[in-house]
Parts: sequence; C-alpha cells; structure tokens
Amino acid sequence: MTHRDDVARQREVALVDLVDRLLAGGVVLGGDLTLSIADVDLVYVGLRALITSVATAEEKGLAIPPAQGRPFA
Amino acid sequence: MIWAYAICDLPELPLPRRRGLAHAPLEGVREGDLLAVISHHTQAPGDPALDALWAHERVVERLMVDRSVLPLRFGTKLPDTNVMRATLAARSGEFLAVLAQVRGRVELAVRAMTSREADGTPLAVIAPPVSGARSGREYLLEKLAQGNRNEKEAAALHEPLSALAVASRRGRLQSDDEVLRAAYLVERTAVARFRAVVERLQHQYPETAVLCTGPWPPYSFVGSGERARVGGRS
Repeated sequence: MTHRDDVARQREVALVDLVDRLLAGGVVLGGDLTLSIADVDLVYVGLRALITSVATAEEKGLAIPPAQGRPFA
Repeated sequence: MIWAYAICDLPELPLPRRRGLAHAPLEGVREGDLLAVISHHTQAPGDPALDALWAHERVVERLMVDRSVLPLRFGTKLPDTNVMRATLAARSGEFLAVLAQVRGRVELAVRAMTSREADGTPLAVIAPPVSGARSGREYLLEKLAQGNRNEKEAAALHEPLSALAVASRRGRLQSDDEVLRAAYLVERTAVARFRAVVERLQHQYPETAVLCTGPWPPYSFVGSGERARVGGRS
C-alpha cells in the first residue's frame, strides 16, 4: 500500500468511525428525539461522496486539510 | 429547544468555554451527582453535516479530559431544561452505574481491511482464473473459503486486542473488503500498549490494513445492551 493510499484510507476510517459512533452509539434519551434511519442513511451517502471526492482530490495532488481534531493511532 | 451532548459526573466542575453546535455557548443542567451538558437553540441545528458531527464530538472530547462522560447520540434534542432534569432524575441509577463502568477508560476503534492494489484489486482475494472455466459451484466454494479465512483472521486480530480491553464489541462488517470492525473499552493507562499490539498485528498481517482510531468517548459502551443498527452494506 502506498503512503497516499494509507493516508486516504486512514482519513476514511476516521470519518466512518465518527459517524458509526455518533449516529449508532451513545445514550439514547428518547425514541423520537434522534435522527430517523432515513436521515442516517443520508449521512452515509453524503459521507461516501465526501470520501470519494477526498480520494480523487488526493490522486490529483491537491492539498486537503487534515480531518479536524482527530489524532490517528 | 435544547441540544444535549453528554451526561457527566463532577457537576461542580466549571464547564469548558468551548462552544457547541452553531457556536452556541455550553450550559450545564445539574441533577444530583449528574450534569447534562447542553446548548440552547431557537432553530434545530440537527443537520448531520460533517462539521456538526465534529462540533458535537469536540464538545464531548473536551468534557472527557477531566471527567467521566456518557456521550449522547447525535441528534438528542429536548424541549427544555426541565425535561432534561426530569430525565436525569428518572434514570440517575442507570447513568451513575454506566459512568462507573467507563471511568478512567476510553474507546478505541479498530478496523481491518484487505489491502488493495492501485487498480482496486484486493490482494487477499484469490483472482479468478482467466480461462472462465470455473463453474458457479467452484466460485461459491471459493467465496466461502475466503469468508472462512477472513473470519479466522478477524478472530486472530480480535483476540489479543480484546485481551487488553475491559470490554469489546464486534460490529457488523459493512463492505466486502472489511475483515474486522470492532470497538474496545480500554484503560487510559493501557492505550499505548493497545496501540503497540495494533502495530505488531499490522506487521504480522502485511496484506491487511489494521487501522486504529481514538481515543473516543465510550460511545459503544454506554447503550442499554443493544446498539441500533444503522446504515447498510455499500
């Protein structure tokens, strides 16, 4: 795996991990207070689009600001 | 309405000056030994854009610096602070118990994926013969064998990691190239050791990308048993 692939994949993983946690984890206080499943699916669709655009931009050598505040192991 | 970020202990500790969603100031709602951290909004800021997700996450991470935290699911809105206080009172036993379970601990996320060549061909998947002479049965058997190899590898990765964790959860795989998707509740003091094991496993399985993110707030270990399943295979 090249370094660029590695960086792109790490960023992808952090975003997916973030969405996984915030939208599927955590304490739920009330049934009608959270996002509907349809909303969550929209987030996943948007996320995939974003990841694709990040990967494409990096392929073309464009600088992408690092994911905010998320240290990688 | 109010947007709620987290429930934490040490209600007497001053709140961080960090801002919440839509740059709203953070406020605390105290009930007994519990503090809910919220912000007031006239309009629902719940659009789950990535910057909103990060804004919510950063508030929870900041709280986690000096107290135990139960992160609330993104999208938790309540009509007012009275409802929040009543909720804290009604479920205080449960919240205090889970706070005790996560005290001094953080969540680490590990995902393992088969590596791909630049052309997108997964390395770990056996390439089908070009002759095209394979039957459907052979193809299915090969798929099955690959599935068994992946599960074996997932177990080999998960076992040493879960041995370092207080608790662990394996999530459902969401794409064909995923081998393992898991969350580990780890003592803060064991985070470095955990990462060293991740690194060792990466060397041991060079054809698999073993990626670890965190420390996260303990999102995967505060639910009441089952986690709602969202999203699907892509």
